[in-house]
Amino acid sequence: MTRPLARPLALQALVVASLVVVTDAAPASAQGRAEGGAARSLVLALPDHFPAADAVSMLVRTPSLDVVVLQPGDLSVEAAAMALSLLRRITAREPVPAGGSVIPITGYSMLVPPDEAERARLAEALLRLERAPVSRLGDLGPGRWTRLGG
Amino acid sequence: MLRGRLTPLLVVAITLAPAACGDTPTLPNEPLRGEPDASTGDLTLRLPAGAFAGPVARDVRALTPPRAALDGAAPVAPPVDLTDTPPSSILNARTETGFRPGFAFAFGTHDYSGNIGRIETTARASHRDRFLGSLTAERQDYIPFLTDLGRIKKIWTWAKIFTDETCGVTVGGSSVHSAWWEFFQGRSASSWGRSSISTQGTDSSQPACTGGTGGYEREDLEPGGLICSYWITYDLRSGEILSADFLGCVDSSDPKI
Repeated sequence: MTRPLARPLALQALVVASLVVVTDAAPASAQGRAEGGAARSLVLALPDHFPAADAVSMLVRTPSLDVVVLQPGDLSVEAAAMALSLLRRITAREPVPAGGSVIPITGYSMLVPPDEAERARLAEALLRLERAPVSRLGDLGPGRWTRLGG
Repeated sequence: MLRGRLTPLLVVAITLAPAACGDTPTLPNEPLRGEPDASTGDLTLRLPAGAFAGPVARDVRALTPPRAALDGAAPVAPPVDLTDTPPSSILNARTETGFRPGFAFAFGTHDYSGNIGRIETTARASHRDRFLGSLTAERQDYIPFLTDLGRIKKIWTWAKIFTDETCGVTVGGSSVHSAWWEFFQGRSASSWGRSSISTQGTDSSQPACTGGTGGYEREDLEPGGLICSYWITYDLRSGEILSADFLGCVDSSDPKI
């Protein structure tokens, strides 16, 4: 009598095991959503030559990637925080773009500064960005990049 | 029977695979998605050509004028003796600035003689003495030389910066006003009698903000502020620009969810 039950029980164990694995992956996905959409990558980039003469920073969006492009002359927590605030607003309206988007930011005036924890997080990310090895950023040319949020 | 028992296992396996790789970046099979290349550490970002020329609104009424005229090159003598034709003239040139629901603007206008009139008006927005952005609107009107009859004509244009803000923003404006004669359209056409002047408008300012946060406490707001940008969408494969939105300014300090 035991033997006919063993296979369904083994199957149930396998299903439970798979649910555990899915659950472990959920926090990362939740973090990805919090930063701009399910399972999307968020990257800070610092090209050697910033392409938009009339912009202070820039957002680039593809179906799988959000890039915050900063200028070498304004690598500040404020600049990063403002660019991320606009990305947050855009992502709320369009979590995943269908194609490519470029959003040059021409200027800003900060009204609500980031709290200490967020400032520390962004400062650490900018330090990581400055120390990243030089690589190619596609059409942005040579520069540095780092992931935000891990 | 075997197939019936394998099916649930296959479903589970399909569910497991993406879950196990949930935090692993997707390596690009095509270099268009921008994802990091694991072998080189490069970002393969594809950007549209000509996307960073700045936001300019152009309204050219009639055919494209000769490049020489736009570049301000010395006029070439026309093939027919037209020395009795007076040079062009510009009258009543001015630039005004202000706010309307939904946008700040600079408005440029002038009257002119000459069969081609052109105006370039630039609006510049700032907030608490921080430059936010500028946008230039261009307009050019053309009447065939033989039908112009020396009439005085008017040309105008608006440079608009979209914003819903109602306090703290200042808009300034300036214009370049031009007029000239051109015998016929085309890149080899001769032009003469060019006039050009510039005007500066008086800045317009919204009332100062009182420091209110829309009823929210600052700790209930996301970090942000007034931020201005323009938006370009493009085809990831061809780089072709599909659409462009003009300069707009929004307050990104939204209530926390």
